[in-house]
Amino acid sequence: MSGSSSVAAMNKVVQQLRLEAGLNRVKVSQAAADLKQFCLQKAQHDPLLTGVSSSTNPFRPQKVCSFL
Amino acid sequence: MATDGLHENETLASLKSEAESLKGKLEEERAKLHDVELHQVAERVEALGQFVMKTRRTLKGHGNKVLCMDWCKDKRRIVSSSQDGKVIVWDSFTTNKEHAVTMPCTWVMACAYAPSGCAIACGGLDNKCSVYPLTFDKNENMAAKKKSVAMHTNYLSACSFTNSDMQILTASGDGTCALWDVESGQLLQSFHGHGADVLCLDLAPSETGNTFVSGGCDKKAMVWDMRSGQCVQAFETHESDINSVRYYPSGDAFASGSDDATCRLYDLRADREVAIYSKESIIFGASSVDFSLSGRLLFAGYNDYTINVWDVLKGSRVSILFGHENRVSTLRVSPDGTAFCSGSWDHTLRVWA
Repeated sequence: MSGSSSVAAMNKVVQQLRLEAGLNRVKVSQAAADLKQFCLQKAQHDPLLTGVSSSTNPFRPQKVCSFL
Repeated sequence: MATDGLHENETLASLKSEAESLKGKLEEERAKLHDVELHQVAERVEALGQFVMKTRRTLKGHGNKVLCMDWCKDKRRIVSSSQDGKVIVWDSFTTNKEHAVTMPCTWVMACAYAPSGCAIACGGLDNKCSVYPLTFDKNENMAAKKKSVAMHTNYLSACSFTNSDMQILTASGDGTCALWDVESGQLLQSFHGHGADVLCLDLAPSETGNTFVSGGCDKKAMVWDMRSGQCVQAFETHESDINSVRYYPSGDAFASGSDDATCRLYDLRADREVAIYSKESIIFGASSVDFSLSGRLLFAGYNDYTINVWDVLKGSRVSILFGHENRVSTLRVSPDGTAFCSGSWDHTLRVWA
């Protein structure tokens, strides 16, 4: 019956909301500080960020070798 | 009986009011923790310099729009799929085509490389996800060894192998995501909750555990527990379809790209959106997003044919890349972060570095 199925559907919505309400959250200042920390720590090892030279990046054009 | 109807109405009404009060409580909780913006925390971080990123390789061969691509773990092979029904495996260093298979349907919207590098998965309008082992034997017909793994009741929009070749995660126009066993084709878990087509998914980096994020036409991004099938977190701040979702490399956040012309960053521990990447001049939808290795850069492909590069921490755009002659439909950074590849409706793929 349409009545009981909307109750069942509503029940699911409430269950889901209860689950989400119970989550442990962190302050944005803390979360943002951690994101920033991660970026800065890994910066050296990020080739697209640091711009890797031709000799180490397989996609950048190599200088042509020629036999003299 | 009349009294049953009355009872049901009361239950429905009380459930509805509980839902409303829970939603209000959630908003309150999230707002309490919103003490600062990400770009404020990043104010003292050194600004990024000029970026020189160019197309280093162009992969030509598809006969129609490129819809999806994925990198092999070997950092050089790429699989791509197209509206013309073809799935091609390329060596991106040499631009040679190593394998090609024709699917029985057009609009192959999803493709993925297996972690071993020995197989690929793809699907689209056929509502299935099929796995093809890659063979170098010239006498073998790739299509002959095809294995149908997933069956949805509408188009396949995204697929991804989990940590092994044994399981595949799929997203579909039927509004669900599902986890399948490749060998048996058995459905291991299904994920219900989106109110419309699911367009994209991304698995959390393996260190962070068994979750994945999905985005859909219902404007929601949902984070799921793979074991229980439960939605653990949901975010609804986009104003239109979410075309792409990608985890931040630490696993603590994810980015999304949407038809509302913005990309957004959601932090999972703060349980809220923490940044929006947008400009008044950008009015076309973002179709695909991916992070550089450190998470500092967000590459986003748009329907106005461009790729915008965003400073994730500061929220500003650091570069705009031109080259494609039609919509950018797919974009992935290579496994070692030395390059990224974009696919477009202009029938080509480009590798940028």
